Amino acid sequence: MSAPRDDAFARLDDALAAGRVAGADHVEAVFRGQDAALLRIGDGHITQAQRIVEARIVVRAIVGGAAAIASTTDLSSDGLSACARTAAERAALLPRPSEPVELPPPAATPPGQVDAWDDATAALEAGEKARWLAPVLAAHERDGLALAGRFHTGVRSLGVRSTLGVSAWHAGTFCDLALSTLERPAGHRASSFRARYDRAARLEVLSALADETRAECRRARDPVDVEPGCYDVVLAPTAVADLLDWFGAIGFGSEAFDDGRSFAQGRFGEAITGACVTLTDDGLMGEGPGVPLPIDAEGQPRQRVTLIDQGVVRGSVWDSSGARRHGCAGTGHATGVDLFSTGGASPMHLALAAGTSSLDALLGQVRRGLFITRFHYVNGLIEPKRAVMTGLLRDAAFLVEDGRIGRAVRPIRFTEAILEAFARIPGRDGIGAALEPHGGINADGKCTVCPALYIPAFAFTSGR
Amino acid sequence: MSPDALLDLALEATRAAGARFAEVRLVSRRRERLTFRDAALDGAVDERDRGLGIRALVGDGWGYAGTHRLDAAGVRAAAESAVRAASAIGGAAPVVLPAPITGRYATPVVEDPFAVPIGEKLALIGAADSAMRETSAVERAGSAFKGSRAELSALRTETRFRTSHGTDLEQSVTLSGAKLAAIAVSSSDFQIRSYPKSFEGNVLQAGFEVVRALDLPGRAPQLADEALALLEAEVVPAGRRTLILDGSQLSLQIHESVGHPTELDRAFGEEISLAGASFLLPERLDSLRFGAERVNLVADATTPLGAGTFGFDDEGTPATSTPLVRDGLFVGYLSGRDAAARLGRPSASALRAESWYGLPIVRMTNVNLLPGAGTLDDLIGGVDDGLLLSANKSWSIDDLRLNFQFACEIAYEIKGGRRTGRIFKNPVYWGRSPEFWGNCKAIAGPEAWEMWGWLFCGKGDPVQIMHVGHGCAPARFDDVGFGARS
Repeated sequence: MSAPRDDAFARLDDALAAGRVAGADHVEAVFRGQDAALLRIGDGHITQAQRIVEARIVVRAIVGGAAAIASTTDLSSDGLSACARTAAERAALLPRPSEPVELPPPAATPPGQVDAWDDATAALEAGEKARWLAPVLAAHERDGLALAGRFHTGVRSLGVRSTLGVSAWHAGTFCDLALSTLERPAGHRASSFRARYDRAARLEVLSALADETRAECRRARDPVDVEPGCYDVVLAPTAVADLLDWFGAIGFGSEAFDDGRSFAQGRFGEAITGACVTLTDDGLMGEGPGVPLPIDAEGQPRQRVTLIDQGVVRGSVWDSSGARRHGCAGTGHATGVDLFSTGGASPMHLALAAGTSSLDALLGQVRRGLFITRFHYVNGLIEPKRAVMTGLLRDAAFLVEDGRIGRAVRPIRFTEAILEAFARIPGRDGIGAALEPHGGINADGKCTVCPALYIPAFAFTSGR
Repeated sequence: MSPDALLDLALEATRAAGARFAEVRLVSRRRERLTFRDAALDGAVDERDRGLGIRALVGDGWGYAGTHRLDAAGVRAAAESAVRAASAIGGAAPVVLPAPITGRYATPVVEDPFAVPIGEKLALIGAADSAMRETSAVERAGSAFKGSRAELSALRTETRFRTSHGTDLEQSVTLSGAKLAAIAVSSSDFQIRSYPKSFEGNVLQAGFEVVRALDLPGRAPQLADEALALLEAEVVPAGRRTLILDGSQLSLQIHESVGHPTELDRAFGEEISLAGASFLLPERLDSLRFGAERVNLVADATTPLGAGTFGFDDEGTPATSTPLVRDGLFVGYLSGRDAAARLGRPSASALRAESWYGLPIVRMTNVNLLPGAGTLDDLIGGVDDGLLLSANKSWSIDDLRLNFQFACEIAYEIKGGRRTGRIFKNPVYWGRSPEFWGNCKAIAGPEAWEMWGWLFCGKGDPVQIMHVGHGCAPARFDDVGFGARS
């Protein structure tokens, strides 16, 4: 582990030195590395196999309080010098801002220790994965079913050094596994989906998920239409994660506060949803499963932040600049620069606190409603101040009558104010006791841990 | 190592590792993104990456590897990874290899966006912000006017592409674009008005001249006025009405309900793992009525200014124009070589990769709605009771691309063939793709036809981001569902 870190730190230090030579008052350099292997499955066979080896250094140079960022994948001395020079020269051309940018100093306490590495997962290649998948594919074919999915594994690393003395490093493995079992033509008839995002790949997990999807797909045959309207619903953890992904971004991202569209803005200390809802962001993944990331893109330790405690807004996540702007303390949640983001802070490791019920106990509270395993294409931008979201059912969803799962139903669209929906959860016995880790769709390291939920009167607004 | 030597080494190493055919792409990208908050520069990012992508064919299975390591050891390791990956795939159908070609392509650029001084860019956005703040509505609004947001984008992708059979291509694609928005807030509401389009704005294949042509300062006052007025506006009543979409929203309607379902890999069920399938199954080709007879849609990788325009796609197929919907009938797919061959058709030159770190998959190019006749005012003149919607705010569509629901920033009321001046906030409309396009009652003409560029089309798993284009003129749709309040 020390060789990749030492090599990365040496290159980061080259970038820092080059930035100073180019005239920057202060410089921060961030290393992002990935060595990842992917298999995709479609319509019962492996359709794509790839391995990507990528490393990038992002340099933030500050001159007179103005900051500019440049990045490069050319990690040679010349490449890093050019990158640092670009950032420094660009910063020097900018007017002095009214809010001068300051790099954060080293944290007073080191990041928490996490168990983030699995040797076997780091080494898993396409051929071995294909061998794991072979019996699963064969079992599906025997049943006349198609398998689809992704099996993405590898190593991600993040290192940060700055001229203020920040020095942080993390490397960890991941396994992003998603399996769908489908009647053919795939996507048009019954289907079932399971996903798991964890630090290690395990054959027994893959086999168990595939067994679950095959069994559930059989139960999902011959779906019936249901009319739009309000239904009591039990949401499986995958569906809950779909909602929380947007919930975190529109409520607790720093850009949402900058723009004034966060539903949490100006409401700290106020009850905004149900008293049984406690939501934290914890990069150490203190709840157990998942893919931890103990530092942020400024090299700060990720703090465990209570966003909502028993329905009351208690805080948000911040990088150093956002914290200063909004008069808060930084929490170690800088996202860094990527294709979508020019920086800021965002929740990356949401954890919804578990309740007390088994899935059967949640279903037992439903007299007539729906059991939903997954949502599709959720969007939370309609009315962000109310957390109004829309999306559709996807894969297996079932009628529930008198606590028992019945006929499968065809996809239907929901449009619902999620703060109000969460307020209708009847209590901790409306929340599942078991937690599952799920990754975000952009493979960006986001990891949400959540239980199943029982929500009365969930609004469905149009059918397919 | 020179680019030629690097490409030669990659081809030789891939063949030596056991591939019967190899494609290698050396990709250099530069992206500048400047974001502004109240005229102050909030983010100044200059991203550059350079790497090698290798697609290896073993039997009839393709494997892919991408690497930033461009030394000999890095290239050989990538070649071996690509071949190992290919060996794990059986291949769905026999692969037919293309005849070798050579060629070059470069975006026509009048003013290099990377060469425009940062001071000029700051001045342009500063002028727009000032114009916003000088309106009487903003002066009266106090803290309800949250401020302006702006973004300037420039992207250049330079690609060298070679195959083991002798194809040798070189292209340089440059995109430029901008967005300006006004934000208004109250304790319970957030409203935004964007120009020329929401999110990244309009990004076209050209130089900075397209940014100057937008006249951001000239359009700024209207944005501020409307954002503030939306705080007081009512929500569109639920019901069924006539809808006119301007290009800023119609381009996304085309994207989601025409572009994605006509991707042939989706139709074959090969994108199920993330994005889903398509209601446009291959057996429906040339028989399914997709829309009204006036509806004609093409996938055209040659459209001037199109964000999805290029000389060659990422498996070396020269850019083409492929009909998708002709006179309302579904007649074609977006495709690459292998998928198209399964239907006995030529490639639609639509196999594209985000960069060297993604394997090429079927993507949109420019999916364009061909023009009808008349102006936007002519369309409005034909509507007795309807709404004109502009600028997307929310988007969602099911995994077969049938049931969609969109929200826009603003709806302008139309009564008796005229705009009444009344506006509505958070307008939500919904429908099913074939019925919606079947109810297309009018499309404005060539004088109202524009290109709209979208930078952030996501597809693949893990997601690859792609810039695509949609040419369209405003269009009218009857009997559309409005309102979806929870």
